[in-house]
Amino acid sequence: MSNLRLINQTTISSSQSSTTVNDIFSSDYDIYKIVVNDFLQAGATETAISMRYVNSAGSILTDSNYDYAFLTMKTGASFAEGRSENQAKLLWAAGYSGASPDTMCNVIYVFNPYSSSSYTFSLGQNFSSDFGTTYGTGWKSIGVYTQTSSVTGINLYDSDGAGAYDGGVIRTYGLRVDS
Amino acid sequence: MAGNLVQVNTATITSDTADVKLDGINTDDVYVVFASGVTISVNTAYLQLRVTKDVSGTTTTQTTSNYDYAAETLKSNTSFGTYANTNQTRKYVVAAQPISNDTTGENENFIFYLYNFNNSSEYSFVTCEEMIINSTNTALMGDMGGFVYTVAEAHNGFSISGDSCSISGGTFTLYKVI
Repeated sequence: MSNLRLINQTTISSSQSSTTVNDIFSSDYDIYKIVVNDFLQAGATETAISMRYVNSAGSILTDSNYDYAFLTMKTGASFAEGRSENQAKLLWAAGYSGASPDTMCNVIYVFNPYSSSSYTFSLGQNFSSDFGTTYGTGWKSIGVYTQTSSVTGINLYDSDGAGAYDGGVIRTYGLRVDS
Repeated sequence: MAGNLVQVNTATITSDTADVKLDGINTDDVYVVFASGVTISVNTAYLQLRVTKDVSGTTTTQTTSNYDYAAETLKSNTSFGTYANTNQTRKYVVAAQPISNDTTGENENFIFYLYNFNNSSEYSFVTCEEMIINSTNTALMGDMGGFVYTVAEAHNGFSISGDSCSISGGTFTLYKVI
């Protein structure tokens, strides 16, 4: 049996601009792999998908304790750097939604989210269409939520208010360590 | 199914350890190391990466000047940097940025994919994804890149060790990718 264990699969089948997947982080694992795929825009405008964490009460953590940095690698323009500290989200953590056949793909690793003695770190890679352009963009990103409070889930949402999405799949895996 | 991970070796560090060696590579498969919650004994010190080799039955960290590396260093507080060199004795974690561990919650987290380690006629390659908190400005930083150990010989594992420090905590696990 693989040490990579599927914990949750969430399929988006209705129009929405915010999606919470909770109760996926626990004391069973320290490292999680989240695969976000095929977010389909509901309207004509592509939507930036950012990420926030969720606590065990189901509250989305919107305090200004997210730091991040990402390198964008564009097929049709110069590469660019993005960075910020003390923000209320991990900007573009899941790239952009798109219209079929032009959608998106993402892998995000989350480290120590359930621990109450560690910050929550993330490491991501994605490729999708860049908002407002005709070319594709890959992101390589790092992020940290600089609080030691335990988090139990994620919230993906349309962070630029460009429009809802109505399709997509979010799969969460735990990486088991056998002692 | 491709992409499955099978655990080969793991080490949970709870007291100062100079060199965490994860051995057990004995096939031509790709392997991957995940490390989480890593801490070091001296705030502002460094971590370094190397390959290991079976020398007369003892897993031995290789320290010759045959490490070539290149990475982009992402930083949450300022412009990114490039980190590259050849014929070095190790690759430092996150471009030898000093590591901060003096605030509760700070730690280091890594993913390393290992290629061709078991092949005695090819070099051993590693892709690196690393995150630390920098001790100078308490900023999140990470290397995205890789290194090659340019000696055509079989390597049985991976080494993470302190420079001017010990490793004081963390879980390090080696998996085979099948």
